[in-house]
Amino acid sequence: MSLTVTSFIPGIVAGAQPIRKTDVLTFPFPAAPQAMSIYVRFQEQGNSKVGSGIPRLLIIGAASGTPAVGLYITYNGGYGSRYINKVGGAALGSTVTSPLPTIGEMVELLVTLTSAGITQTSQAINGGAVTAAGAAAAGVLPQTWAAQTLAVCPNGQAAFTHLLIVRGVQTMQTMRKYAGVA
Amino acid sequence: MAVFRGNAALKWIDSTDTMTQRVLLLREPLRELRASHRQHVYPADSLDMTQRQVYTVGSGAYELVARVRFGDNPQTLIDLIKAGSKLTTLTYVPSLSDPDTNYAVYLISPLSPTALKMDPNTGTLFGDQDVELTFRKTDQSQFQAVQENLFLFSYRAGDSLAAATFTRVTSTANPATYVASSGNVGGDGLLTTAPKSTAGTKGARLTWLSTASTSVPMGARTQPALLIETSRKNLVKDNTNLGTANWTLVNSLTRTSGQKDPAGGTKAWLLNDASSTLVGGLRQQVTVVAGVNAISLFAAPTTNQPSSGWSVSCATTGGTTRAGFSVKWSSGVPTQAGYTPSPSVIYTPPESYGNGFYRFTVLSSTATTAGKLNVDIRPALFAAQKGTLLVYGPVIE
Repeated sequence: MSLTVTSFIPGIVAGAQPIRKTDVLTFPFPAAPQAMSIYVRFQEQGNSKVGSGIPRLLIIGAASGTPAVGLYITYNGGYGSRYINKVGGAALGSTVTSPLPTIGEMVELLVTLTSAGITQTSQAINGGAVTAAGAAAAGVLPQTWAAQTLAVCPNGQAAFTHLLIVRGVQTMQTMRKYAGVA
Repeated sequence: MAVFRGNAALKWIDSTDTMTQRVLLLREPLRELRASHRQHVYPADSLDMTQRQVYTVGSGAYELVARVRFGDNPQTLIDLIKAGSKLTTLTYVPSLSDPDTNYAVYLISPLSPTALKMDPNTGTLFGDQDVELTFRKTDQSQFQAVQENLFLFSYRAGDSLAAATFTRVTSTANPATYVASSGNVGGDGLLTTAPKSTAGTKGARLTWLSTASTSVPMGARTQPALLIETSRKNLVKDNTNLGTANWTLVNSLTRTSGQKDPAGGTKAWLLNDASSTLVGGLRQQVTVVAGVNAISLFAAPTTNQPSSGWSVSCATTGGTTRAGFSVKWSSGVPTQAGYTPSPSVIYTPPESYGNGFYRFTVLSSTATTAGKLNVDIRPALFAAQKGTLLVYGPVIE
């Protein structure tokens, strides 16, 4: 079943049904858990139509899936952050439920994590007004993430223009300046 | 001026010293960071300046230029330069609270003999000293972001992925495409097949996007983006060769190969419905599983367009339409609409590609069981009309 249209898949081998394989992209991320701001700018390509909670726009602490201790951005009724500060701990979440991006729109997400372990998600669509979701409950910062890995869009799809992670809690306006989009 | 203390440091091991480790605590993180690159380059121009040759040695080394300000421990700072002059590995830690974020570097300059300068702000008042340092990573790789002090991670579409691990199995059976930067008038991009890739080699796709627009069709491609997608199977066979036995002609439709396509080649086909009594079409029967299917197709206008427009229909062998859309052209610009009877959802506005093509997309209704679909591409919507259509690359995923 396919709820999304993806990039063109040409049939090069005669008579065959071609298969485009999955893009897997990870970076080393040695930074310790700390107050930080994550800014992601991308074109919505259909994560909103995939099963709730499955797409991962970005994961700190694992190469895919749900990190044992980490921070990730997912789509579940809207784009939102999930912060897990201990093994077996609950995912502390902050989700923007309205407005929801539609296919083709440029989306900016700002996920902040404070030194007290409070995560919050903000969203702007097509450079418009910033909508902030309610902040999640606090969770003490762990000493380390489960893995020193940053994974980009496992189990999802997006066309990224910017990925920034900056120390401290910053505003969307500040992150836009760092990204060079404002 | 108030005394302040940051949390950055430079560390090294000096085998001639009785200390297990030497540390220079910085008053603040390195500032005025500037990216640099060093390589032996030998250019030569012809006398009339119409030809240029360049000879380079190796791939060079990335460097970072930075200033140490307000240095209140000048002797240890000079010891740092002395150690660096012997090619001792130095470790720069922007924040000791985040010790795993560090950079193993060599000191490129200044090398001994050298002298520090007085800090321009606090030198005369407090004796603080100042020096500009040039560092090179021990593996000559890039410094991830110039503003290492503030950024924990930085990537902009088009930046190098040298620090990343990327994989996507790519072959003729497993192709991947993206839209190359525009070389065409109007900003339309050409479809390009990504080169074969294995881990760490080329294959991560930089595609060019239309800007978001509520109008139809989407605007010109002005935004580069890193495209990351999951695996998908195209259920249509021979979608770049519409003349094989996998395609059947319905009601005397004819087809001509060798037409310009949106990938810059000539694999598009001209479909011709010359009948004024029947609806002609090009058909392929595909097997689908239960659920929703995404359908897409490239098409371009011709000089013989029916006023009714053209259509695509996906119906079960039992006659139930699961998806469809119709399109009318006006001065080469399409207007896509639904199809009766069909519950289709138009996925995105038509998106422009090279050579006058647009990509049309639609989502089907949900099938409760697996089954077969007849996919029909019809240059004329009604039997009473005739017309032609340029077609390329149908996909059902």
